[in-house]
Amino acid sequence: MPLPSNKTINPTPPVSPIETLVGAIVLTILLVIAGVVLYVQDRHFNPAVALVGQSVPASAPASRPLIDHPREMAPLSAAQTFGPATLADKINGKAELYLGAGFVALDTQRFAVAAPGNPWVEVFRYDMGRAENAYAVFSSQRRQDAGAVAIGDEAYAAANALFVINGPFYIEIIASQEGPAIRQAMEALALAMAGPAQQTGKPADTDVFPAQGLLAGSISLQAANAFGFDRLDRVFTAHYSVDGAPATVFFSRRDSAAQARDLAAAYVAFLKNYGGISQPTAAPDGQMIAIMEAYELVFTFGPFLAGVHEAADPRTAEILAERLRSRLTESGHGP
Amino acid sequence: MDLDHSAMRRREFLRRLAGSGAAAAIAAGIGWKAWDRQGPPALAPAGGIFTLPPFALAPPKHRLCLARGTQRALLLEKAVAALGGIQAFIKPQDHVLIKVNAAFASPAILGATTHPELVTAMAGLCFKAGAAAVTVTDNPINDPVSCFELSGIGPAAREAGARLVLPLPAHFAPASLTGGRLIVNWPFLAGPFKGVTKLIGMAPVKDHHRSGASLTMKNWYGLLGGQRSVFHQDVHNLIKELALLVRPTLVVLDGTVSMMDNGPTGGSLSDLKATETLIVATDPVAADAFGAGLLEKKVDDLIFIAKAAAAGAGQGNWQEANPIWI
Repeated sequence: MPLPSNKTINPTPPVSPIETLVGAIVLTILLVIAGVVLYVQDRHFNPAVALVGQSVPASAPASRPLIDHPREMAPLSAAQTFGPATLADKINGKAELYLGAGFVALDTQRFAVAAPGNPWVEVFRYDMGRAENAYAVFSSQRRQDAGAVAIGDEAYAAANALFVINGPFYIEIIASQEGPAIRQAMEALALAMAGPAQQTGKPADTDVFPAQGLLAGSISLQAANAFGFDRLDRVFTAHYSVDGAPATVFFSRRDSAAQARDLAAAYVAFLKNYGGISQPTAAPDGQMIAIMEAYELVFTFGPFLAGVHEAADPRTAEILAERLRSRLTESGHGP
Repeated sequence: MDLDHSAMRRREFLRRLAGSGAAAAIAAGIGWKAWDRQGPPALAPAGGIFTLPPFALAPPKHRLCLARGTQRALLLEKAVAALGGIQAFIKPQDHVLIKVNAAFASPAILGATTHPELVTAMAGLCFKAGAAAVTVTDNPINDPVSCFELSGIGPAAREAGARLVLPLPAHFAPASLTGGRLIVNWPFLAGPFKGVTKLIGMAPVKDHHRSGASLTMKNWYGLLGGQRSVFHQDVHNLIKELALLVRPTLVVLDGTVSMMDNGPTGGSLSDLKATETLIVATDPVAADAFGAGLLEKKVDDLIFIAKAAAAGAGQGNWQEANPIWI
């Protein structure tokens, strides 16, 4: 329908420069206020406030017995289960070690042992999600003076304790005292939980470590933050001695050769950032860094980031790097 | 026509300006009125905000005694005597609170908790000085009864005639460190402090996965409630703040046996080393600085020591605390 000719539509008046300026000033003031509010909030961050209203599940009694324990033992406490949010309630500052390695759940229970002195043991069964994660927490806490025990995938015993990995589970059995009766009870418990030796728990990559100069029982898997570098995860380490000079050999299998090279470059940059100085080296494609009165040698080999950590001198680093390179070649991990 | 159009634009502009100004003023007023300057407390403060008084006495000539040996009770008695005797710290009718480390339900032989012998000996010394009451406490969070009983601390406290206080929800009240960044309205184990006139901290020397070491200053962590594990993300600053918040009369650091690895839980006797030194101090920072050496660490390795010293909590160079060796 046509509009009447005597009616006109008022178009929206054009925005004047003054209006634009005033609008811009108002918006700027609002942004400044918002910025100040955020800054003040950040400066006075209070985790107590941040946590208000969050419901943290408490540790829960397990619905079933933790293990089918030997008949001569009596449960001394109810089984308890802890998740990632409550693990620190049980093991305090140690929780970070497990949380950083893929922790899923912890089951614990204490048992009385029928022996003089009323001893007891406490079982800690950590579900680490994957066998590799279980190996990481097992190996990184390994007590050097302990003896191997034929239980589960790998196990060792100290005077009052037994440590076992079995698939994705890392098991600690801690006793209130030492002695033959306790040792027998701990082994019975471990067998009930993990079965006899399986010989399958040690990750296959550990075979890469050269045998010459390797200190027994020193192979370890660092799940995260190896050598203080937050990008360095899934790193196998082992301690060596070359003519009495100590050093640590390490390697980490990455998803591709390019990723290994990128990580090597980042690690070298990290070392230099903390005062490391490049040194000449005969190691092919290797970078030698002198840092804190020790030497780091870093190289890549196909998908492997590899090297020597905290060598006492450059020669020790180069000898061990060459041995590791040879083993990588022999084991078919070449580029 | 042009004039009319121009007048319309001015009126429209003024109308819009007034409208948006009024809206902004109303919004700002509502915001100002609704602004909670304190923020919500971590817990409902049934008993109000808790203020922890300082329990430290005037600094003595010697702030540190380093007693070499293995017999804890004997070393404690000798070290306290060397610092002027228990009467220099505990007066008749004092109510003494002993903050132990009962964090784990583990046996005393594993060195993860305060040794019960020391609890008995210290409570005995306090009573000998005429203390009207001695209270022993800690907040282990998980299963406190088992922690106190299986560590032997509970029986030791009872044997000495001390009162054992297990943490109950009613014991916690929000506390803040003045000028603190982390300990702000945080649940604090306030109940056992009621009527207390002297505070003694007793801790073992331990490796700690997160902070590098658990010594006398870290021991105050057990006075915190709530989901305190969040503080592990900034543990060095937390320990510094604890050192500023809690000013004890005396601390005892048990380095007769030290947990060298796999702390703070340990678990194996092979984690322990006989370091054969008991430290009694009025300066927790100096005590911890010495304790670093027992763990074969440098003082600089333990960042919280430098932070606490710089904040004025004590002497980071233990040799400057005028130590006595016995």
